[in-house]
Amino acid sequence: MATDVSPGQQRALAWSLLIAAVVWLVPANLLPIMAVTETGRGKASTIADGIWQLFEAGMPGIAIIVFIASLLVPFFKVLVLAVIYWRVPHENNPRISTRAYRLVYWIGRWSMLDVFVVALLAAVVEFGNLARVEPGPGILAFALAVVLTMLSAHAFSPQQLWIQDPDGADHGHA
Amino acid sequence: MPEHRGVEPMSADALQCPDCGTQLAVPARRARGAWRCPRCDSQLSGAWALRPDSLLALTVATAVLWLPALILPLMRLENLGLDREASLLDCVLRLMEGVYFPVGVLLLFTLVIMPLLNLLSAGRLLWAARDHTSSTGQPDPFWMKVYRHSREWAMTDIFLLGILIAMTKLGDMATVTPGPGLFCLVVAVLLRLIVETLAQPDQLQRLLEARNGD
Repeated sequence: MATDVSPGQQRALAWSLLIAAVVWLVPANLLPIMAVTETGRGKASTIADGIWQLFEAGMPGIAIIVFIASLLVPFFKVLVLAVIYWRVPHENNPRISTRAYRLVYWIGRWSMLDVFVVALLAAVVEFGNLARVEPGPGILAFALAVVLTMLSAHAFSPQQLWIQDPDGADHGHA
Repeated sequence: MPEHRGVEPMSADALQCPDCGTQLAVPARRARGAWRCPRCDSQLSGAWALRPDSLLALTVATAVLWLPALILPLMRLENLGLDREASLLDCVLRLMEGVYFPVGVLLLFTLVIMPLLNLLSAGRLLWAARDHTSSTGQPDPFWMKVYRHSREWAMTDIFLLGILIAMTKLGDMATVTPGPGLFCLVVAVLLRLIVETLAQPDQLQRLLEARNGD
C-alpha cells in the first residue's frame, strides 16, 4: 500500500467512523424526514411512516424497495462491517469476509435513495398554502449516517483480511 | 484516506491483486470471460476487451445529454389548476436554502460535481488510451484516482430510482407528467452505466501502462 498509515490505525479510523454512523442512525430513524402540509394542516413522517404510507396506498412493490434501501441496508451494512472489522485479528475465512466487504461496499450507496426522494418532493410540491413538502431534521441525520458508513468502508482495506501474522504487529508491506 | 484500490504494477506482465496482495502473472492471451484473482476472487478485468474509441464516443454522447438533464424539468405536477415543474438543479438548490444546507451540498456533490468529474476523468483517460502516438508519457495517476472515486460517489443512477418513487408517491394527489429532463437523464445514466461496466479502472490502467511502455 502506498500509505504510511499502519493497519492498526487504519482499523481504528474505520471503527470510529462506523460508530459515528451508528450514532447518527438513531435520530435518522426517530426524527421526521419530511413534513407534508396540505390545506394548512401539517403532517410529519419518519422513514418508517413513509414506507407504511406506501403500503397503505396499495404500492407494496415500491414500499419493499424503499424498505430495503432505507431501513434494511443501513443496519445490515453497519452490522456486516462491524463483524468484518471484529474478525480481522483472528480471521480464518478471509474469502467469505472479502466477499461480504465487496457486497456491502457497493450496496451502501443505494441508501441515499430516501434523501433524493425527499429533495424531489420538496422541490416539486410547492403550491403555497395548498400543499407543500418541507424536509425534516431526520434527513440530515440519515444522510450523515450513510456518508459515514461509506467513509468507514473506504478507510478499511480488505488486504488486512489476508495478513497471516496473528499478532498484527508488523505486516511487512515492503 | 488510504488509496487501497490501486493495482501496483510489479513488472510488465505481473501485478499485485488490489484486495489480497497476491502476486499474479498477467495471462498473455486471455480466453473470453472475466479474469479473477484465484485467491480472493477479486475481479481484475472485465469480460470484454476495452475499446477506447467506442467508449470515448459514448462518453461524449453522455456529456452532450448532461446539461439538458441538469436544467430541463424532470417532471410536471398539476394540482387544482396550479402546475409546477422541477429540474435536477432545482432539487439541489431547494435543499441548499435554509437549515438543510449540508444535505444540499451533499446532493450537489453526488448529483452534479461527481458525475461531471466522472465524465471528465473517463474522457481524459480514454483519450490517452486511444492515442497511439503518446507524447504525454505517464498515465495520469490524478485522473485515475478521480475516476475510481467518481464511480462510487456519482449517484445519478440512484436518483433515477428516486424519481420513480417520487412520481408514484405523487400520483394519487396530483397529475404527474414526465418532462424532457427525465428523458435526457435516463439516457445519460444508461450510457454511463455501459462505459463504467466496460472501462474497469484496473483494466484501463494496465492498458495505459502498456501503451506507455511501447
